[in-house]
Amino acid sequence: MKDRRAVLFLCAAAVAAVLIPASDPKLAWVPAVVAVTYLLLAALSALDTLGRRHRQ
Amino acid sequence: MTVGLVVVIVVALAFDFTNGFHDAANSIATVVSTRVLSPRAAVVWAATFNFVAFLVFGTKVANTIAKDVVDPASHVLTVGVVFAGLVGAIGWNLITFYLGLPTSSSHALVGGMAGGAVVAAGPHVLVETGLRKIAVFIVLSPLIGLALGLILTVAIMWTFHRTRAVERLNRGFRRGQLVSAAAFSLGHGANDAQKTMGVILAVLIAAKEVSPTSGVPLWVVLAAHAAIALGTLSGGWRIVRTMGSKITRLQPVGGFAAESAAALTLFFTSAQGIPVSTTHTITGAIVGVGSAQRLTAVRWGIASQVVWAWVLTIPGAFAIAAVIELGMRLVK
Repeated sequence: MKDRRAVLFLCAAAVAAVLIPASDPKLAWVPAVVAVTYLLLAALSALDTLGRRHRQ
Repeated sequence: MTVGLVVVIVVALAFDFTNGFHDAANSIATVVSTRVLSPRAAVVWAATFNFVAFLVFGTKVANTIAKDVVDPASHVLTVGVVFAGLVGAIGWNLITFYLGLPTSSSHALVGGMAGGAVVAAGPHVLVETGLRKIAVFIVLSPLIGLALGLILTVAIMWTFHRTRAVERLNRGFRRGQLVSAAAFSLGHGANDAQKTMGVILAVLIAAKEVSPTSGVPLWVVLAAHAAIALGTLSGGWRIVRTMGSKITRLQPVGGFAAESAAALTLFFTSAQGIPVSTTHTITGAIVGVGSAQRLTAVRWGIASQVVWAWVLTIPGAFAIAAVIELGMRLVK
């Protein structure tokens, strides 16, 4: 079965990034940190999936 | 104090009670579903930490509700408007409770207050920056919960992946869940009880019982925490079932990670004065824990049903409050 975690996390990163300009300037760092975190999670998930396929 | 003011305060506390009743599931669903505590012991545990939250957190969230949803300078938040808003929020809570949907009592409150105020004076009385802050965190709070739930689960898996004594490990996390459930209940009490404090503060300001610059009176703080704790003691078992097992099945490790992730999110937002939904936050965290295994561990049908309920909460409570406010105006 396909692992679609990376896609989900990329979508979450995009949503968080869209919220940066809409945020209160004092709190704009929160969606920024969330976006970066989801980008990292997407990259790690993609690497994990590739690694599993390679081992198979 | 007028009779109308007393009635609104009583209704606000009743809303707080329904909030505890409705959201009790969030605090204790994982503890009950992993059989760490019996349902009876779990509600007592959660209610205790709901109540003591006032000793730990300030009243920033209360000020946001009282002053950042409807402009206090517009003087539109009369006793009648706040009453309509509360009835809108309680009505929405009861409908979703009947349907067994874990929606947000907090956003029902914001939607209700906005609905009553808009009918009374028009949309210009709404505070755009305050509503934007709340709207941004409607989306962010489950995302933060999800990321923290996932990261904590992976960290725990890495830390203990060589452990062979799985039973012992599970026992450890069962005990750990007592701490994480307590932390989550603390965050729930802090964030949600403060919303009721905010409503009572707004109506006290409107009735000129306190000055617009004053803080939340101590009796309001104690009454709000007592009401939410009593509501939690009454519990809501339909929603316990949805949260605890329908979204994804949890082991003690997962329950610990989900509650810790949600508690951290609630501590942060309460400290920043942001009213968020405890329901959104714990649902995000549970999905995060489930997705640490694989996405198919998450029952997306139920999760999307929950998302629809979120989307409809503010408009739903807004509409009920608007109808109540219109009805009161027609009767006058």
